[in-house]
Amino acid sequence: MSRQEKQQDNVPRKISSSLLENLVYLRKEFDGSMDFIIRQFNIEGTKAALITIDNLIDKQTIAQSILNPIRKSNLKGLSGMEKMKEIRDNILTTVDQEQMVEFDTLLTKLMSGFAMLAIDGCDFMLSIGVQSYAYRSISEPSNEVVQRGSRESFVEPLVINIAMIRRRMKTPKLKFERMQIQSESKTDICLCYLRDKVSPDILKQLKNNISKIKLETVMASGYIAPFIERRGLFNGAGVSERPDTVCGKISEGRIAVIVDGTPNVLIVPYLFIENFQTFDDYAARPFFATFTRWLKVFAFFLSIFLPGFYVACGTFHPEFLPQVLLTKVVQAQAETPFSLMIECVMIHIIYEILREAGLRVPKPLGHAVSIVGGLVIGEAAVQSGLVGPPTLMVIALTAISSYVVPSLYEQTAILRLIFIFIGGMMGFWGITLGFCAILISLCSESIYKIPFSAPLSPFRLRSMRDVVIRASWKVLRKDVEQIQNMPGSNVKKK
Amino acid sequence: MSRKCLISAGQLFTLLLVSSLIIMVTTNSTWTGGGDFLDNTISCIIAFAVNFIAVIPLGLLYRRKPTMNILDYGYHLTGWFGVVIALFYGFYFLTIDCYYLSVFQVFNANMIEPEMPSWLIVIAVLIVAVYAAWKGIESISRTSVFILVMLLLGLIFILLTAVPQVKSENFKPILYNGWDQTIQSTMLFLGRSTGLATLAVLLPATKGNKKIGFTVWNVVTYLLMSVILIIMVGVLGNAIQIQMFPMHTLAATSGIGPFQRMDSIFLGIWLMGMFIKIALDLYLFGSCMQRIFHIRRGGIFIMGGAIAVAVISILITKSVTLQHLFFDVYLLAPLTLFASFVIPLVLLLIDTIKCKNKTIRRMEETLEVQNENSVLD
Repeated sequence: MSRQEKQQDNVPRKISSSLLENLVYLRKEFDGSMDFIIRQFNIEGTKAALITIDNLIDKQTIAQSILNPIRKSNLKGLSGMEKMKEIRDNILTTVDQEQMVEFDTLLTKLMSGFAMLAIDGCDFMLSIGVQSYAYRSISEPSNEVVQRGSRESFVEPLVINIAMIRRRMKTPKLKFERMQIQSESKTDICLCYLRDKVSPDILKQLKNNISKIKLETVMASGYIAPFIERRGLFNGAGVSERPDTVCGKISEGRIAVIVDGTPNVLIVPYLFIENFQTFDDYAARPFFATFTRWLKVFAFFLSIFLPGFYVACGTFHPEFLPQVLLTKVVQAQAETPFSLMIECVMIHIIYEILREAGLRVPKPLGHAVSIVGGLVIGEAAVQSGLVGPPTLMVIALTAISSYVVPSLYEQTAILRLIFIFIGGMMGFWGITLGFCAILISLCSESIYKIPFSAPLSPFRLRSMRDVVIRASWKVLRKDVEQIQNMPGSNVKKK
Repeated sequence: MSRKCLISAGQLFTLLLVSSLIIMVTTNSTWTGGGDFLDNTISCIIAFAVNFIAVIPLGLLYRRKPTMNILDYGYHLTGWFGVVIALFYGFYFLTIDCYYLSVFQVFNANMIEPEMPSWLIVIAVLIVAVYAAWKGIESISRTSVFILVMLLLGLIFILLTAVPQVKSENFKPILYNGWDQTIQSTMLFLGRSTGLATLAVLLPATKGNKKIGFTVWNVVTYLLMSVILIIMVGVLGNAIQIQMFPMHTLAATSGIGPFQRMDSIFLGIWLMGMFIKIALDLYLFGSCMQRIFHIRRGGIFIMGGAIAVAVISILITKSVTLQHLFFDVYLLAPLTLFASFVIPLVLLLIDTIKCKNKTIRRMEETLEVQNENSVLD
């Protein structure tokens, strides 16, 4: 294709005043697709057509709000253009409508559930909002279960998710800004933020990042997440399926990115410490919320380091273990054919296989899988002497611990495996150095010019009221800390 | 030269505190020149006071031109000799790393006896330290905050569990055998502390109140060291004289409830502190090389420096002669004296003389102009 042809191809094609020409073009574009529907009719002697995509529209609305009013109106003696203007201005007054002059935008609207009214002799079409498509009803969140708080979770359609947020924040400062990803799927995304809280610097940078995304298709929020966060071990963009969590985050100056067709909303910027803050913390009593927060941190470290430390102690530093425990480990070890490291890796991988199977298996088979996995394999492995009971116990404990902070599961699973190897090969030294490497990786990252490890390091004492402890709302309400004001932040102030 | 502030004063002195923790955990009767460890508490007080005096030239230099570090001053005041000063500082930081890594290897070989070779651990330490140095001073300083909290908690836990074992009869009169040990251990403490040299390079890249930071760092370092020394003497008594690493012995014999030994905590403290120290020194070495070669990133030099440290520290561990050279105070103390005090003092004097000459010249010129004007009148 020559450069001239390419340039011509990039120029948006205008709608012609000939109805036939327009219909030929559209038919060619859809190439006989079964859901592409053209209903042709006459309006007082002028040829007209209503173009829709099947199953995305409400036929009753079309009949009642478009076709009936047009048929009942008196448009005699008017040209095609005049008829269209009359319909637009005086007949279809109650429906959502927009004038289309280019095929590019027309096609996007058409595939979003709009009906296109075309009249011969008129060089534009009228897009009329008649969307109606099947979608999953609002249900309880499956991944972010809370004891106190709303039972609503996001659904797939963007507009419903927007409404769910708006219902919780009745302020005109809440802004939803629509953007579109440059892809075949032309997925709509929506930025949601509070105008008076958000940092313009972060917003500009985020928009810039989104505008650069070029993907063939965007089927989930996970597709765009890598483009809006920095590359690193830990997530720089949070994910939530709860509207109340998202509202809480945007009130602290963060930006929510809602992707059409996905029930998870991305939150940026997202700091490391936020992985340990859940919605329940803010609904529970402060002393209990503080306790659970510490528990989460402890469980996180346990799930990463316990197997590695166990392997290191058993292999290189038995003196670190209390004598009674050491005796048990040695006894179990004497009866198994593999080294501690191999045992741990084996059990860990078996557990991950079972977990993956449990996620994908059809629900009726779920119980069978857990019985076979948990009881048969576990019991049989110990009975046959392939694996020692302490090893099984350690992996089971870490597996459960890793679900205490579900947002860090991916990192935990991989790091745990790495630390088993390090513990088996380099002992305590290796584990300590591995820990230092993780710390460096965590501390070197910045998300939208905010240190990922803030407010722990760089440290700010005032921020500890919602980090080390969860202070009472009487204290927290006094000054909501904005994300751009975190210590060490290089975000330009307003 | 304008310099971007990269870290806060709190972060800088946290870094220095973590680095100086290694001094506390690696002391023995051979290096301090005797087994009267209570005398070393006097050394702590002297070293504390000396630090306040030694920092004066550095402080004055910084006050004159807050955007210049010692390397910039070297170039500014001495021209080409600035290369020598930058080289000296670069190799000084590497020498200190060689010392710490070889002490660690000696400890590992004698006390822990791992099934893996010591050099493997050294290489692992250096790989992680190179990664940290490559990430930059901001990353190292942020990491040091986490590590400091863990180190302090670990150290306090060890000391608290050791306190019940303290016996009053283990304490002997201070300075019973004269001042020799006190002088040697003062030189050891000061010689192994790269704090002032680090300040000389990093001060312009720091924002915040450095005076308070410096005071807190000095007080906490030597206070903690004195407490450790006193508890060590109280628990170990005369046995301290035959211990290669008394702090490790103290940790290994301490315990409470199910925690029968504390040496794993001690090992963690040592390794994490050493990691920060080496990462910082490699970063500083990279900065020196950047200044000499006028390049933006010193990654290649950091890697080269790490390789040199690995080779030399392994050689030190294998050679008794080199051990004598490095582990005695006669190499480190003069080097530190030059890096921390002599070079800043000389630069300060040169700057003062140059300033004075400039003022005299300016006054002479003014006088000449006035004379010419009066003749014309």
